[in-house]
Amino acid sequence: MASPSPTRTLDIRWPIGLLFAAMGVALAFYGAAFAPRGAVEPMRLNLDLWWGFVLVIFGAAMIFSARRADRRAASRGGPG
Amino acid sequence: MLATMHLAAIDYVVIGLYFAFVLGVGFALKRSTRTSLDFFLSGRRIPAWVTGLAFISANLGALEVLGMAASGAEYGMLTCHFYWVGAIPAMVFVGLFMMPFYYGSRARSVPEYLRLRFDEKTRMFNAATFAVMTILASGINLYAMAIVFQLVLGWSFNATVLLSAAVVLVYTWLGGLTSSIYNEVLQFFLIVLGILPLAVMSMVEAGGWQGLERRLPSGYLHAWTTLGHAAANPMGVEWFGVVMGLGFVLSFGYWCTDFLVVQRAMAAQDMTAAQKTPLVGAIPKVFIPFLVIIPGIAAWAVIPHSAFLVNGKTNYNLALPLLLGRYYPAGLLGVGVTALLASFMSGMAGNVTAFNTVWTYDIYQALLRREAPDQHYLKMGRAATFFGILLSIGAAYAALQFHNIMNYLQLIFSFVNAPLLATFLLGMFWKRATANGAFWGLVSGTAAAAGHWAMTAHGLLFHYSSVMAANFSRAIYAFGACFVITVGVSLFTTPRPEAELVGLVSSLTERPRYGHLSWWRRPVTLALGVLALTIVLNWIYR
Repeated sequence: MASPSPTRTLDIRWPIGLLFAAMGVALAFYGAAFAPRGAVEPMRLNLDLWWGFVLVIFGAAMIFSARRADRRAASRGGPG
Repeated sequence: MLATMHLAAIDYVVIGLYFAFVLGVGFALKRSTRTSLDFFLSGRRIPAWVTGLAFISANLGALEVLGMAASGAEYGMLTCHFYWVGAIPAMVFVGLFMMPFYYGSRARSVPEYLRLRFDEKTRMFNAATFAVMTILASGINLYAMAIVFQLVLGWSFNATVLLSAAVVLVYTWLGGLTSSIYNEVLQFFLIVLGILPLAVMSMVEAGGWQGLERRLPSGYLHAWTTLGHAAANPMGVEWFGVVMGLGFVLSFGYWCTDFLVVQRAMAAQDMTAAQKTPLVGAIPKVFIPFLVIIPGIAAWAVIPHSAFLVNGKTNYNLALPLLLGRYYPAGLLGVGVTALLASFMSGMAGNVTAFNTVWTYDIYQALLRREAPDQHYLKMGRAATFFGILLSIGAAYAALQFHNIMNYLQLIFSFVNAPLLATFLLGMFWKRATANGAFWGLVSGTAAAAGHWAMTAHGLLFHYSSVMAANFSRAIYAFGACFVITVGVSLFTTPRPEAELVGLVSSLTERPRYGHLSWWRRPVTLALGVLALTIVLNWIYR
């Protein structure tokens, strides 16, 4: 049977973190600039702005966690 | 009637970001995809939290998200049985009791385990039926995606099919199973973060749980109290069918034997991670009903029922699109649409990666070219990805011709998975089970399912109050036939020597030991925690 390649695989937290941070920034800017509204607003919130912030925080947490894992792998000197 | 929603430029920006990242992940993974093991099993180096989320995301396609919201609107809290009875116990069982044999045997696929435990013909029977099933499921995903986006957004059917198939082709071609798993995890977070605001707002508008109780008929918000008699609930099922048909045969048949989900655990980095894969997946799975079923119930409570009418008939599948159009402004709508797009595409990619593995290892290598350099199988895997996607496109257009193909797909699942469960339970936990017993048991179980279906369709012998009740019952008959015939034939044929079954059968294999792990990191602790949580939720919403 074949062996796995020794190359280190991309840490999934990087693309997740970057994608959600980018989506969050786009959403928050759009919300701040245009304050778009849904057809029905049970909570009377600028949804794009607030949910944009949530996405940015989630994305940043993923990026932070990926960076910490990278540093730990580097300090061990192994492929992680 | 659902009015077509129009996306703004910001929505297309969000969708564009998603496509860019998906393709980027594929290209980034190409560097680490150099051997067939990398391509088909992610080099067996994925951590448990990633394989665990992929394990449930492979099943959390958009069909499931739209379908469960629809069932919530139609049947209420009874729909939760698909999670709390029809998934969690089976996920715990496969993690604790079956994974040691799947992962420990070093089999590369579920059919390959059948070859190691039984023989080539049993493997081939399973590989052939599974390959057909995955192509159909992949095509159905593609078809459903194109139909939903045509209905909701007015997108062209052909353009949606071809564009999404091309994107799935590029990223699975480049990164194989790892691409598929990574996109499933991405999709999981998109579904959660894309639908959560909608779930909260629908409950706020409904006035919380008390508001739902005021607006809906009694019994609608209970999972167990109406199951005493089939006529007492809108699903037309009673508790025995739910527990035995759904909770045991269909659920265990799917979660414990379907290679689409088991493949995710086989990609785990070690035995502990493999055992934890379904258990980690079970934690969010317990809470998915709050994300999809309860919003479906709330949709039925707050939206005028005339909005669900299509050509004069109530179409519950509109529950989630109606909520999206009701609450989401431009921007967030893009996130919601991307979540659906992602789950359709990863549903397709999951099936295609399972297909290319079974095709290459269990059909091509077993029948056509047994000894070839590893790079040859890697190329064959990529070629299988290409023609798997072509066949899926064909299946999507076939679905367009036959509008009831969804029913046939459900039927095929019950033909394939229900008898297979008996084969696996006997194979893993009864060392006396023989190859001929397993093969004829599988054939008989499948024939029993076909016979039951034919008789039900023609009104002979079997009569059920709903299609769901017939499905549950068919699964029990198929399982029972396979079980009885496997035992019967095994008792009259010679079993394999015990020395050949070490690592494949429970009584002859040493259990994994976790003494080196602290108690709270052991799989059994995780399993007990998830089961306790499930029992509590069943009690609260009884």
